[in-house]
Amino acid sequence: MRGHKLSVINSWKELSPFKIAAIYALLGGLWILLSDRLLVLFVGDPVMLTRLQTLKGWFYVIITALLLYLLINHNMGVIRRSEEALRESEERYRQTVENSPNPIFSVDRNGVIQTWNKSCENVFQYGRDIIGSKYHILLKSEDRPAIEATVARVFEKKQPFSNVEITYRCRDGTLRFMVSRLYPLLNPEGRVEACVFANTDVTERRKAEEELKTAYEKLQRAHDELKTLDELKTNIIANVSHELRTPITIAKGAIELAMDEKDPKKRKELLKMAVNALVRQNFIVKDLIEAGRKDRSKKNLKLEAVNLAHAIKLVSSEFKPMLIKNKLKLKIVVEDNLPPVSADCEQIKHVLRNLIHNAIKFNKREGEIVINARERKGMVEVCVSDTGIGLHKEHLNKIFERFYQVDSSPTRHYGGTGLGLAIVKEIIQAHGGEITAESELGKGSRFCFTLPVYRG
Amino acid sequence: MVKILIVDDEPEIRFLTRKMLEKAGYEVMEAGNGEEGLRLLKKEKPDLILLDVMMPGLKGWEVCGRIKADERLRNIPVAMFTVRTAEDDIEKSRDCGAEAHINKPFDREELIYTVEKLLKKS
Repeated sequence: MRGHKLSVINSWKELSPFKIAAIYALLGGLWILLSDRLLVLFVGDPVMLTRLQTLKGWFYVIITALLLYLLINHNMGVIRRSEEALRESEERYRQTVENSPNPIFSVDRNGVIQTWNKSCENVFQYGRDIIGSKYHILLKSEDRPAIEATVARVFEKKQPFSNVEITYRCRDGTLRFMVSRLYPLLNPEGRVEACVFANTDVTERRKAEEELKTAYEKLQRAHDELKTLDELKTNIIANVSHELRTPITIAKGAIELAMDEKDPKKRKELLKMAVNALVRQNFIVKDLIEAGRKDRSKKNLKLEAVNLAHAIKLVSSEFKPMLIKNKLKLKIVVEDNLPPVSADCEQIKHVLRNLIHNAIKFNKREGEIVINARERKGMVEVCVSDTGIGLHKEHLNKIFERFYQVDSSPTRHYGGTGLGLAIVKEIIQAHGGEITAESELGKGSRFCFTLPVYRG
Repeated sequence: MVKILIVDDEPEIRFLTRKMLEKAGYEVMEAGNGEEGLRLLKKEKPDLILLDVMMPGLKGWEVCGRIKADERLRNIPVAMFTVRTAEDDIEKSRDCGAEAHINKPFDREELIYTVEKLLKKS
């Protein structure tokens, strides 16, 4: 019965309101015409006829009222149910947005915030009372024009924009990087009512990416440094072995020839050559031993009063054969009454030996070497100048680094282990002094170091 | 007389090698670096070349390569004359076309023996 009734109601729904009214008018008209005819046929008494006609009118009114009631009741139910369904569906959507882990908010044409979900409250630290304010407070001032332009296009073109990168400023001033989708919200008339910002917070991800990038760059640098060091090591081994073997080759050859030499003068020359080669090798061995010394602090120095004028003369005399061979002039200029310095004599001799050796090695033929010593503010300053090839500015700061050589290739012109100046600097610093280098390419170099005056 | 060219940047080594070779009856020419050696080879044609590897400017291996690429000079035997004894150094000597590799420090007998052997071959 109920099913039948429903099917009747449902079949009504398919009729237009006009058709329903027309059917009603037709049935009503037929009823009025036919029922009166039927009554006239069966009832002859006019009084009775009038009564029955009145009764029939009442019956008609009651039936019509009943139908009207059913119709209104049914329609009201339909409206109520559809309203409820709409509310439920709205609530579902609202909760979906409200509980989304992504911060989502919307703004109207004027940039006034209209909706603000829970995630927005957590991330931006602004409560729901932000609704009604302009969203600009969330942006860095320099980013505003670009984002406003995008929002304007959302309203104009009704088009969404994806992967918009936005840096938001939270209430406490922290910045958060987000990748956002900006899309229009259309009202039933198809007008854009709001622009929705659906944001994905990528701050942590970006931080991690940046950390990864920094770590990778660090690793890359370390790798490059190691590679350079490895190349350096290979060159050092080749250079040191070359430096050690060359004097052996000379000494060995000279002694072999001296053994067969009858002429005493020529034999002496050959033996001298062998001795010089061994002296040269001794320099290198001393450098290597000094390089191996791990702790070069002050407490390991045997400090005593050292007469620098004497030390300079002593060390210079070691180089006489080399000076003669290279046709170099050596001038020593020591200030009168130069006070003694507080130093480890052997180590200072090593410093002088290195600086003079360099001044010879890098000098031009028939050049000059000048050694100056003078007192200056409680320190004694010693300078070794040469008239050699000089150094380029870019090399000047690095020459005191261990194993640094201006040219460390196996075919370089000048020998050496690349340790000399690094050790010299370490020795001077352990004494509380300083070492500096000045140079002009093609004109010569000047190395100055200071040592404290001896005070009893 | 058999002529030998020594290319080495160490004057003492050139002097001593010259003495040893002269005593063994060879005529000796000297060059202080690779470029000088190549310049000399434009006018002279020695019977053997002793080439140092570690020299300023052109490396011994490069000088050797240029000699071996020269139609007129390629038949002159070349002995690399060096303190560099690592495997890949010897390989480089072989690659550039050198016929022998003499290690420094060397024995007088070894030097003369190698020189004689190379001259006999050519």
